[in-house]
Amino acid sequence: MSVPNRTVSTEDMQEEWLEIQAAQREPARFRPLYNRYYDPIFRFVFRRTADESLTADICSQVFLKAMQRLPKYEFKGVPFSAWLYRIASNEVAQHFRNSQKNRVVSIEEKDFSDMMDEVNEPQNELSREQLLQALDQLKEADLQLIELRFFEQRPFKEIADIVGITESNAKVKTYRILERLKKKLTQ
Amino acid sequence: MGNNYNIQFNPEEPSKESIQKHMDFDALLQRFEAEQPPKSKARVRQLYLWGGAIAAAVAAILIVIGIGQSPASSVDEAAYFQAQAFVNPPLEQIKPTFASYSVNTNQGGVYEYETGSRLVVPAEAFMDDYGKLIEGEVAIHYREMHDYVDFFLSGIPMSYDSAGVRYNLESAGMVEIFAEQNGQRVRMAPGKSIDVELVATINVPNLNIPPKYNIYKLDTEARNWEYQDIDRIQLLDETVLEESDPLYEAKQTYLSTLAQIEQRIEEALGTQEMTAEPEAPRAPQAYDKNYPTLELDFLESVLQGNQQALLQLKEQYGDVIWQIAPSSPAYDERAFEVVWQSASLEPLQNDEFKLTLMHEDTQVPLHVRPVLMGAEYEQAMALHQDQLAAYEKELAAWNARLAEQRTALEATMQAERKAAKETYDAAIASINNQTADARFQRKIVNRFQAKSFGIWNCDRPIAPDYQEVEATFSDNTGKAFNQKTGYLVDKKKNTIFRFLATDGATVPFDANSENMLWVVTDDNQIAIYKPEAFKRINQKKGSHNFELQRIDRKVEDEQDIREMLEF
Repeated sequence: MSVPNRTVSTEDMQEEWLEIQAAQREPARFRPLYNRYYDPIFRFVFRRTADESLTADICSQVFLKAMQRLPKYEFKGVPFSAWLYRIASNEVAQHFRNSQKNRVVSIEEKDFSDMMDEVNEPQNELSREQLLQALDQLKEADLQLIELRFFEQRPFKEIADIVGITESNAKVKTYRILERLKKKLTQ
Repeated sequence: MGNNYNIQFNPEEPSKESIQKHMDFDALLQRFEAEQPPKSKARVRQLYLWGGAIAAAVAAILIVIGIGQSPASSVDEAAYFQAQAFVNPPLEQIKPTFASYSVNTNQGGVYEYETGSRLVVPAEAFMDDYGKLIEGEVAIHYREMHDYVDFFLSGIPMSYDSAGVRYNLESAGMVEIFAEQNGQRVRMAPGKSIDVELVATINVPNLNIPPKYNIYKLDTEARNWEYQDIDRIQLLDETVLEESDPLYEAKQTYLSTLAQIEQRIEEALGTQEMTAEPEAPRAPQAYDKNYPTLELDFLESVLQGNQQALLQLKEQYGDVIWQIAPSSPAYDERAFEVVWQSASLEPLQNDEFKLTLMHEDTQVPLHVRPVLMGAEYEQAMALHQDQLAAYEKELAAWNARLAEQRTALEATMQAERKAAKETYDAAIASINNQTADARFQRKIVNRFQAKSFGIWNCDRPIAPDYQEVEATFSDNTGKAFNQKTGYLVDKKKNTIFRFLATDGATVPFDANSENMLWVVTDDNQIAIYKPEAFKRINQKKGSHNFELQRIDRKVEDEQDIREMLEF
């Protein structure tokens, strides 16, 4: 298998499940999964830490936990990567809870600009500042949805798998958050 | 920038090459292996109080023992068993025998095993590895393991680790269940389970109180047992007595005395005094204009020749009107115009009677009832209310009297049961056989829900009193046994202790019980240290060479093993 696409076909998932079962029997056979997912997990964590060394440490912990929990992993028709992203997300949250620092949210300028259009805000400094403040007030779970959708450009199917909800629920939740943001910005 | 998040624009992501520099699977694997929990206790010759969550699970404080090696060699034992398959049948030539049941997945079903155990399989209970529901026929494979020979041959460890402490488990029955379709293993669908009713025979200290056991499932990945639930045990009627039991006569006498006591209770409860419940007065029934009435001399014409019944009914009902009852079978009204040759009357419930009108070739069954009209009904109803009040008073007094009698009877019988138990205890004390087991064998049903396929055990930690000796092992020619799996069985406990039989091992055993120890030799034979040899061990000496007797016999099947290991 190559580096996974953002959405994974059923055939790929089933093929990967055989690799997971092999790793469940023999931990050393986790290697191909590690090699496949290290890069995307690293980037996922880095966007939330902006610190390469810290990211490497967290990644190490993510894959260790994945190996430790692998015997209990069951195939539920969701890409294996979603399970890893969820462990990574928890590890990041755990790190920032322990360090009592604010976690990083990485945004590309262009993505932020697109989001301003999405919430019908004019492209000016005041609006930009208002949107940033509104984002800062979001709960972690809500911000995660916005982040995955608008700042990481993930399809709703993948967001749903990572967060552990249905695709339609992911859509509904995301657009409700957008509506709340719009409302806040017009006040 | 914000108060809650550190929002950063356009952070420079590390390059692919830079990320790859952080990759080190070998280091990860090493760390993973180093952080794996130890599989057995390092130091074993200790007593532990079992606390916390596990104690809550068994609702008791249990003394748990370690078994095996001196401190120096205990690590060897852990490594020895770690290097083996977790479930490791000792004799490859003896394959487990499974019963197989074909299940229609759309319907499920109930399947009975040869021991009387039952499996209740729900519909739509199976899925494949990809979570897809399986349709069509699925074969369920099932086997039971009940005693030390079963446990030995299965290779299933009967100990489990919790927080690094090793416990020994006594079983009230163990099962293995799996399912296949076209030779491929299938899984239990989420939310589904198989109800298992496992019939077994266990030792019970108290004849009428089910002992407490738990349900554990074997986790072959984690190499441990996982607590699942409380075992819902039901005692069956049957108490098993074996003539080979040295306490057979004492037990038989005790059981017979108890049976006599129970019989007396039943007889006492069945006496007229205890059961003559006052009879409730019957309410009069009102005339219903929708149903035809019968002639006034109806009773005379029906009961001609049966003067006694006629008088009885006349006395009971006087000159009431008789009417076809609403519950009557359908009839043709022309029947009332026929002159019938004879008729019969039989009482039914609710003051109704079955009237059968008879002619040569025909019979017409009808339901009839006595009814009252107008003022007569009102008067009868008023009288009935008075009778009802009197009846209720009499019934309350009767119930109170009955309860009093039953309490007195139960107290008497309880005293008799206690006396019988004391007689039994005195009898077994006089039998001067310390190794005999005073407990009774009872048939039980273990009930639990198997939520997944695998090995399920109804068991509990045991708290044996034991002595131990530092051991060496050899056969009767003096050839030493080292680095072999040793098996130790205590007749009073339904389990098997598996340990590393090697120089310096400590062998714990209960000198007040019958014990047997054995190993499987390199040439697949059995070498045994028998119960009578155990009795000759000088524990004060502290060390002992277990000289095992090789049984010069080829092991071909389970029966061979049963004959060799019988004690």
